[in-house]
Amino acid sequence: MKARTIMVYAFMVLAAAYLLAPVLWMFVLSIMTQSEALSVPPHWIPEAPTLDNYMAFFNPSASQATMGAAAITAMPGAMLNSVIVGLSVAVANVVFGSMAAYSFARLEFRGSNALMFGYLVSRMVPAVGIMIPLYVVMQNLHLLNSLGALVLVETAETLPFSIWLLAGYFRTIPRDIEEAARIDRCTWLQAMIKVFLPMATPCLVATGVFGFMSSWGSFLYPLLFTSGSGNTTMPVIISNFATDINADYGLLATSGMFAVLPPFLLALWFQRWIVSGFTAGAVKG
Amino acid sequence: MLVLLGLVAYPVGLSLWISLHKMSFRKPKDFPFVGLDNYTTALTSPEFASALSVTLKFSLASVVLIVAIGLALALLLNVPVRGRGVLRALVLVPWAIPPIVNATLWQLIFDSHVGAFNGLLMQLGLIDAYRSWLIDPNMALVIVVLAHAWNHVPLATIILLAALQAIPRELYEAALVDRTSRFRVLREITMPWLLRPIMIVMILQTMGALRAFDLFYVLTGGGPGTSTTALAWLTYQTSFVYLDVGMGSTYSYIIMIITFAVALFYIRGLYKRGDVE
Amino acid sequence: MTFFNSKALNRRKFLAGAAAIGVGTTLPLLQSRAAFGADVALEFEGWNYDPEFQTQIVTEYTAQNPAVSVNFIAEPAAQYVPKMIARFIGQNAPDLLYVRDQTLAGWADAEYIRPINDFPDWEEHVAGLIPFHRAGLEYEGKVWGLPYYGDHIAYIYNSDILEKAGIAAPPVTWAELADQSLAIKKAGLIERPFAFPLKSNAGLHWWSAVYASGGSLFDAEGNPKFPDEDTVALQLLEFLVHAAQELDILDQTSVQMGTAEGRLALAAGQVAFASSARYDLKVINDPATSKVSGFAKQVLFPSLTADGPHGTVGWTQMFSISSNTAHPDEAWDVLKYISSQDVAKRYYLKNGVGYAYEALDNDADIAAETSKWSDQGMFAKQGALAKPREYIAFPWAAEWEDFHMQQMQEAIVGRKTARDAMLASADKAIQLKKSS
Repeated sequence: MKARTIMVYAFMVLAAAYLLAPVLWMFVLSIMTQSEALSVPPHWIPEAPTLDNYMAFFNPSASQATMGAAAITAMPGAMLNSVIVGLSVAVANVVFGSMAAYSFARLEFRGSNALMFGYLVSRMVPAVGIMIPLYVVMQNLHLLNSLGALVLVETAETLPFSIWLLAGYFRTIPRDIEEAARIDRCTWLQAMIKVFLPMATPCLVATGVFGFMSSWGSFLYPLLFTSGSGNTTMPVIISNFATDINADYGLLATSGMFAVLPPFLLALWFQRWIVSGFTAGAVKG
Repeated sequence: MLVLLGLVAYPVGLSLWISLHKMSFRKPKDFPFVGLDNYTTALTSPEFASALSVTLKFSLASVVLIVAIGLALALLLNVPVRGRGVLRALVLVPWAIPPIVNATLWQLIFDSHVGAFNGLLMQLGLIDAYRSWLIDPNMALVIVVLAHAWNHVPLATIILLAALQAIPRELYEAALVDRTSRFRVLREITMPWLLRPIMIVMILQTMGALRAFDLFYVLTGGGPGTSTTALAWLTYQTSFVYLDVGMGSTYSYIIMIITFAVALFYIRGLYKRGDVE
Repeated sequence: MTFFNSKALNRRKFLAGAAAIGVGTTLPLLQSRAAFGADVALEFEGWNYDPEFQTQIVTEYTAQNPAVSVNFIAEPAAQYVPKMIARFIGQNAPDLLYVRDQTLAGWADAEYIRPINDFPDWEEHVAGLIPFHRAGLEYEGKVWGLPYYGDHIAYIYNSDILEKAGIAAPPVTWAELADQSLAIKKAGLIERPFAFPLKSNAGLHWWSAVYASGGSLFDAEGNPKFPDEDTVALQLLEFLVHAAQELDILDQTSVQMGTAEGRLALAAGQVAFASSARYDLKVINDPATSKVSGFAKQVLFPSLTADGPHGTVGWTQMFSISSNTAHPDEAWDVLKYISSQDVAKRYYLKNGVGYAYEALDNDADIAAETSKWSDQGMFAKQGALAKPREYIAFPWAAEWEDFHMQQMQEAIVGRKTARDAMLASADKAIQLKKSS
């Protein structure tokens, strides 16, 4: 047993190394000067570490300002926008996803599978192919330059998969459990919320994470639907650190570090919640 | 539901309509109907054939790699030991990196003159001089696959981990009573349970791989020759650089049809085993 | 069934909520414009290189012209074209916008932008431009905007490496460059000292080499002159293949090298010779971003024979007025201000990015700035020899160029002979021309 635990830890270290190695290099790049980044062989530990790239977000130097002082000062707002959109999409996925999935799993009706599959297939057209018509639609609905439009489009993009995922899990939960609740004169909604959903917590959390992360990294839609620095999301702002003439690798690496932190912290914070939710569900089951 | 569906259906329908016309952003008012001409042009052109083969190779390799690593990570993270919470949060990290940073990061890592990858291999004594990893057609594709997979493993891990957590404990308890070996538990309880989520991951990843183009653009620009010119990249170029949106929409629909065919293939394959419902 | 009804209701509420957020965020924008008290509000959109400068310039303009307000919006450079096409198709284009040299012909054909010939005083604003800039503004006999900035492809060498290898003067011809590369290789300084960017989006370098040797690829109708009618292209490719395969002096990365990778290789001191955008010299000679600061020098682009003409490619990025603007006269007035010689000079002093005005070649402030990281005399001399890519207006240009670069890569890596690659490329041009 003990040998096994050690092995598990060894694998976990290996996994962490795989996941983190490029990010660690990104971190190293963020604390060295651009000229040191050109060293051959590379300096794994910077000889002259600097916080200039981080300070830039408070007080940019002249050359950093060329890459976009407005972009630098817009970073906090853009990150907030990204978090707002991400959380809204996550909530929309969990709420609408579970309702729709529940109906697919329980109230099987004619054509439900066809409807579901049609929706899925429509999402298989690459975004490049539909971006111009989508822009025109958004423009006609007067939704340009709003976070609401982003929430709407990102939800439309992710929801079919959330529904599909959840419907699959829901089918595996035995019907008797809710039927017991129904006998206790619960409405279907009460039955779903009180009995059914706690059992499905891990899957709901996965759905939420899927919704959040999909819109967190999304670049094309915010680029298309927003203009200027005040109302767009983080990936669009960060792309300003690479222009057609040059790129500031230090600022790019630093903003990459900023981009990684919120999801990581959110996931850590959620962790406790997932575990307790899971045990609660397991006990009831 | 209808509004959301409309929001999706209108652009999708319009681009299908455009794919049946000869249309260029250069002459947006000129819009003759050509039926399936664009499709026959695409299917008979050598550029398309080459891009299709690159895309299929890339997608196959990416999906296999992502599912394998994602499954391994999910199984690992499901083992109840201290500290796995941190690793679970770390799993999200590659996913959180914005596209432009991701592309630049890989460009710097694999750069042939100043890249960290070269530096690492040289210090480990595996190569004796910096070399270019992207000039060999096969190697270039492998590198793009590796970078793409790293970025997309988290999605697979999260979905599979959730599925693992949802396995009713009674199933395992029964196996424990019978003293079934760990391997048999994996094969007879865990894997059948995971079939459906794996299928969803495969479809999602196939979609992602068929649509991927920014890494190709930044790392190889489609070369050397056409060895890394993928279909999605061709779609982008055709629509927005060559301005031939009729042809571009056609490529989009071909990507959609391929995705659909692959999805059907997965679903059929798995349904036959009878474990999905 | 009630379930679905209630869900539909939720959706509707959600949509209404989303719409409310939309209105909430767009209203302040409208209000801020109204509050400004301007009679005419213009939108001005471009890509993201130094947006602060552009904002400052339009602010100056509106301070002098309070009846007009101008809002400058910067978009990520790599996605500028799709974004603008979306706006054009949505009949929602900004009044003023940046236009790239490669997209000018297509956007003019589609009537997304309007020529400036309609404005009475247009001619005085294109007088005194450096020839390649003036040429770059024109398409189908009309002038489509005024210059923003532009520059040329410069040939760059590392003087430190040349000195260490005992080389007295930089190369004039490719043959000299090959000899010098062999000397550098022999001295053990760099294994493959010479790089030539051949990635698919780096066609500018190839064109520059063709012009430097006095070659031309197409006639005025777009018929290919290579490989036999004009042999420069074939000779150049044969030289590159020879340098790669027999002499082993061509940096192997060249087939995957774009301008950015080339700049990194130069700045890291990993190659002794390469072409790059001229303004890159500023970055390559800056100790904060380079390992070879002070050693990167410009020389006239090498040619096949000593008599030159050592030309190169010059390009112009311009400001244009969109066709759907409701205020063309106001937009024209702003256009004249933002593209003026004075603004171009300030831009150069700030960023080192090329200007379109001949008069600035002899400006003392400009020369002082250039001398910090390059050589003003060489800048003016090479600039006077530069011209825009001759084929750029053909509708099939971009598609052909992608194919052409792929063919050259195939030849360099030895999968095709130089001649076969050129023949395939010529066939492709003929076929694309026929089908367009």
